[in-house]
Amino acid sequence: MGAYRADDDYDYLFKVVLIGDSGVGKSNLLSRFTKNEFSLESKSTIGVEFATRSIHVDDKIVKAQIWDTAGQERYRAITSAYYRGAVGALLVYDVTRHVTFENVERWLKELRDHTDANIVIMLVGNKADLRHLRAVATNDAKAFAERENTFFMETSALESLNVDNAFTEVLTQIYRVVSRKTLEIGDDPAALPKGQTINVGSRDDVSAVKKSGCCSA
Amino acid sequence: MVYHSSFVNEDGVSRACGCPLLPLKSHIKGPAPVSDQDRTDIVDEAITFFRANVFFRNFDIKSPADKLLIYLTFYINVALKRLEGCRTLAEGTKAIINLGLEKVPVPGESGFPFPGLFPLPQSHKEAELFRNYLKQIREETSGRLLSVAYRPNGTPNKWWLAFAKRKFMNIIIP
Repeated sequence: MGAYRADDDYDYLFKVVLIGDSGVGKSNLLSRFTKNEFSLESKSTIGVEFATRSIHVDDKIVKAQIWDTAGQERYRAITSAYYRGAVGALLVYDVTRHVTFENVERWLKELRDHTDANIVIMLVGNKADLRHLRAVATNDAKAFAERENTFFMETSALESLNVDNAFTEVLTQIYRVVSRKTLEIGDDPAALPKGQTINVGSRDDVSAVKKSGCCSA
Repeated sequence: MVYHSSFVNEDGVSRACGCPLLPLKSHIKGPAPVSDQDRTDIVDEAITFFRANVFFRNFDIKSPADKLLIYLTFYINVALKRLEGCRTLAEGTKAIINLGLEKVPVPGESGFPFPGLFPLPQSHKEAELFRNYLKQIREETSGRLLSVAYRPNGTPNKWWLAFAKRKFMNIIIP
């Protein structure tokens, strides 16, 4: 029998940010993944929102803290605080509006200016359900992703297509990076980690329940 | 005795509204010159001196940089009030980002907290230059404040958040 664990217990807390032009569907991707909700009303995000959802990777509980902000410049503020501590990013464009794909390069630059070099980036082509309106060929985006060394998926927040897959893939890859780092440091206790260490939660992050021990069935 | 800014020598420093636009260790876009990462900048001073300076009702100004120190001390006080009640770094970050969305008034405009401290801008261009500098320095201050107000594990540092209850120079914050 598995040990009982509190609902909000987790082994890792990963901050993931959503970025991309206004109107590409960032907020609906967030609500679809965290609450399984979609809203047809297109209301611009003002400021910032975050939501969480936990998934299992291997035998670990990974809690995703996903941040969503405005794509419009006039509603954006304190960019640096938004990106601080992020270990993953979903860079979203709209497959029906080519300009949103053209702007991906600018978003990628901003992301790399503000985050750790090890951040896991997923390029996301949203609104893939609108097949008759497609303006960005899948192969073009795939080639860009390969060139820029990012992951790539097409999604539809409306049809719930690939949304879980996109987030789960990012979280799994972050977990792999973190695990690899732990192994590398473990092999040679004297070695200092090179560059900036991703802070994915020290022992203190473990909940009080876990600290006091759990009952086994 | 209040702690004063060490940025007394202003050779080569641009000004707006009588305020030196001092360098910042910052990647945030704005008019401030970029300072070396290993130097102390005015934001470091404001945070370091905050918990002492916030107790004073009077602040004798010894250099124009002290005016900026006063402004930042007030801003940190405002920011801590927004962080009050935020039990995690995530909630604190959200609150501080929303604070960053609010209008940044310059001398002569309603809402500017220290009438008379800075000379009024002589032109629209000077007003916008000062506004952009204040936006930049506020954002830089907010980021560093989050680092001290919350521990690495994301829990609040009560020794900092307790200062949300102080009123700097008896100014009522709306």
